[in-house]
Amino acid sequence: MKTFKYLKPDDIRRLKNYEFGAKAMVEGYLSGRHRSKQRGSSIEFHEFRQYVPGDDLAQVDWRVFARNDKLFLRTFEQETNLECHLFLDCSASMAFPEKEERLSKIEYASFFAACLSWLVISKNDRVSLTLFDEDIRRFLPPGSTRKHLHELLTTLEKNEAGKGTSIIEALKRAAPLLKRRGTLVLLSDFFCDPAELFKALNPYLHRGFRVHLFHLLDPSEMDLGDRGLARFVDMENGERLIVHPQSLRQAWKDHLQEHIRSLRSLAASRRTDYALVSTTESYFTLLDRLRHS
Amino acid sequence: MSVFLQHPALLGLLALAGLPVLVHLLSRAKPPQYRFSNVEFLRKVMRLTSRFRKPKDWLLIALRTLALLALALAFLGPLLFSKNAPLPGERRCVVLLIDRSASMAAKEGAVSRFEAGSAEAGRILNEAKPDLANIVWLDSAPDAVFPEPAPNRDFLAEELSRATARPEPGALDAAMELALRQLSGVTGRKELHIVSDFQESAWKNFAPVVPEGVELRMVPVAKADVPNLAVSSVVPVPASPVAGQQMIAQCRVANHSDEARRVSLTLDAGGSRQSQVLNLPPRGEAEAAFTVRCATAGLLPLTAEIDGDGFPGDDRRHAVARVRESIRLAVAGPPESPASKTLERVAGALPWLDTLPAGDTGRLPPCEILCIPDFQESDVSLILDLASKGTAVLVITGPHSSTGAVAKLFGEEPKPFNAQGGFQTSDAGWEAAPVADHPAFRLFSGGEFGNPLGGKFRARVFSVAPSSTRLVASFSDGQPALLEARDAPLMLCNLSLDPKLSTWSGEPAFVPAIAELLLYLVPRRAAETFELPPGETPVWADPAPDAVGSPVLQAPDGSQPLLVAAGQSWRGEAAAIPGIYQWRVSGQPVHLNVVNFPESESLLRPMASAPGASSASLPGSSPARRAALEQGLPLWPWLIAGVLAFLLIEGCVAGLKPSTRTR
Repeated sequence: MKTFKYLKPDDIRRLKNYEFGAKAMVEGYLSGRHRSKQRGSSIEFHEFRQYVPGDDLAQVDWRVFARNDKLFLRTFEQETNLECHLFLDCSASMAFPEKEERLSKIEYASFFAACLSWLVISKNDRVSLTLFDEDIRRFLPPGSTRKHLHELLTTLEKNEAGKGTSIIEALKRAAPLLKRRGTLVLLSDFFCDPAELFKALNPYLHRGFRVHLFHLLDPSEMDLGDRGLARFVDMENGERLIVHPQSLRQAWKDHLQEHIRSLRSLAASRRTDYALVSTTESYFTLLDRLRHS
Repeated sequence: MSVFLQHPALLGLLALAGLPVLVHLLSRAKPPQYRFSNVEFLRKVMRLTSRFRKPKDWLLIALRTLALLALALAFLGPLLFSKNAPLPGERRCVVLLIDRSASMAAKEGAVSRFEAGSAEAGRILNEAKPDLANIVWLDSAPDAVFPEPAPNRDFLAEELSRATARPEPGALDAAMELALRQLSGVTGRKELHIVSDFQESAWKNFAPVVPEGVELRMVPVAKADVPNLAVSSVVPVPASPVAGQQMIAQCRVANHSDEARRVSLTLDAGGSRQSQVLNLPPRGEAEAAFTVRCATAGLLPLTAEIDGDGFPGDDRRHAVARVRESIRLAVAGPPESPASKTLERVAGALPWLDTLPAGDTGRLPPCEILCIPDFQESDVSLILDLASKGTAVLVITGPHSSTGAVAKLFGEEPKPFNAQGGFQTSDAGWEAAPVADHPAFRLFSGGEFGNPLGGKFRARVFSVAPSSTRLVASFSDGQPALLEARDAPLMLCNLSLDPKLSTWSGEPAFVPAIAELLLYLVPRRAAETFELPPGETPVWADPAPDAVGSPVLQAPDGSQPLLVAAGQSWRGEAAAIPGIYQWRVSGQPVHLNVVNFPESESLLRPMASAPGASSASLPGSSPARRAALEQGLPLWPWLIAGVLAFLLIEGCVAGLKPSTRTR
């Protein structure tokens, strides 16, 4: 069996123990796990509705018509598959930290995406993958086959950090690509304006997507690390800045906390899940969060 | 202030000051590179905190630069000099003008002002170490130790230790001129230090004109006013009494303190002592009059003395009165004239009056009073000449006298003759009376002796009192009876002494009136001068140079100064001690000289600030600091302290955390 970089056998063994409740993640139909609010054709009765011209006559309940001389439609709940849409930020900043033993943010996000994809597909649900930086670099439409999984894992393996970030632009462009609503999991370091981010998420939220924002940060991004005077080079645009981190640490932490608070506050107001994750934590923490949310 | 560097070769060390800036630039240029996820975010944080951080960075660099600059300067060995201090190696000439006038003897605490001034002068010599130096003594006759500034400072120090204050006033201008003359002949740096108590009474008008290039420094040694009592004057009245006459010794005592004082004043008049208690108001004077009977003719020494105080030099004052045996009255007129006869009768009644027949005015014998009866216009020039020489002249009008002669006698142009002018006679006669409270007739002011000018006068010269005269007595119709000149011992008597022309000579008050008039005239003659200014040389002219024996001068302390003969006169050494100097011939006193403490030196109050003093010489400035600035104050300890202070502040600033509140 072929092994993938971001899906380790140990992780698979651990994932097999994960039983996601349908309500816990998304609406789906598989094996009756994922109940959909959408009305459709299935065996589960939903309600009666008065006939209006244009309705399918096949759905008219003639027995009711016989008793009451009125036309009523018999509607059934539509059973759907789970669709999970993974948005992975592949900008240059996600490659931080470089040349470190610990995982970079993009690696961490890839591990998590691989696990989640395996988990979704293993339940016969569908998963899509959108890699973006300034624009959408790669889009894998939703799929639930093992082949799709292999393709997804291969894509993640081949993926490298790109250039600058434009989450807003990526979300705008991806909206037409997602035909069905589902769960949107966005993995990024969110170095952007929170208000703009949620403005870009608004179309998804209106369409009924459940949105999970996973804010990935390296520990040294949280406190600037313990180093002396250094020249900081921006990984995205090469901008340079000489800074004495010790003198800025507290201000940086305060400012970052403010940024996080802003994201969390906006997420709460939009009924969106938000989680700040350090890349030193296990990505299974995120899976646990998904299971319990 | 000026700064001198001891090690200018190390000036390059100042470049160290640029080190912090260099380090700062280098450290900024090569910091380790670190790739970071979002520098824009970091820059935003920096912008929020830059308000605090940037000044701190600059402050740190400035502090480090200052620390290194101070350290480098410390190695250069800077010396701080006062503005007027000599530069190292410059030739320096110091002249010390030291006040040794009488007021410098006042004690403030344990030492006198002069001792303090000598110590200060010695300190200046020791610390300044001038190449050339000299001392000019400020006293009544200023002189210098060396003819010109010399390098022998040790000798000057010895002179300082030997010198004492003198009971003399200071001839300030002469001393200043001498001191500047000393400096005029030298090159290099010229300094004139005036060491004095800057006694207010002597220095208040001092405005020195110092040539360019001469630095004038005031060294005040008086700290405060010294309370002092002084006998300020002793005046015998009359100055030349006649034997048997009572003399008044008027003594004045001054209180130069802020408190009222009570003092006992004693007068010693030729061994006879009298005392009076005086109450002296604060900053005031009191006067006492002692009556002294002049029993015998000769020189009568008078010494007024008060109880000793902290400044004893002026507690005693002396005077000498010459007691005459008689008053010689020369009558310049025919002996058989009525006026001459009348005066002879008067002289016969007065034991102290000798009349000398003078005949005409061409051959006058030595006399104190010259009487010219029936004066004429031709006598006027002689009368004025004698009066100007101090001879009291009593001019009596007579038939030959005229209004024009009277006017000419008192320096006025004769007026054209009118009907009322000239010699007048009247059978009815005129009465005369003295002007009220005139001192000549003070004896008669009580009235018990009647009118001193009683009787009828049937002849007189009609005249108007000239403006240069003072009316002594007048006739009942306002015509002047007795006139005295304001500026000369000259009196015009318009009262006839001829018994045929007046009844005055037969009046009982006539003899006392004439006696009072003559005694009034006598003191107006210039008194014989016995007093010498302090520091002056006693001189005595031997009236009988052929007499056997040389004179001896005995000083108040009993010493006998050497005498130098100059013709008929003898000259002693400068009188340094106040008191009575006796000239003796064959053991007998023949003349007295009096040297008194200078009255101006009794006021011991110093000026609030030294005249023309620079700030460095004000009393408040520390002599030690001035001396240090003169010698060059080493600055390296201050610079090292500055280095430490800068580093300490730098440490504190570097340890400060930037503000934790960011928005």
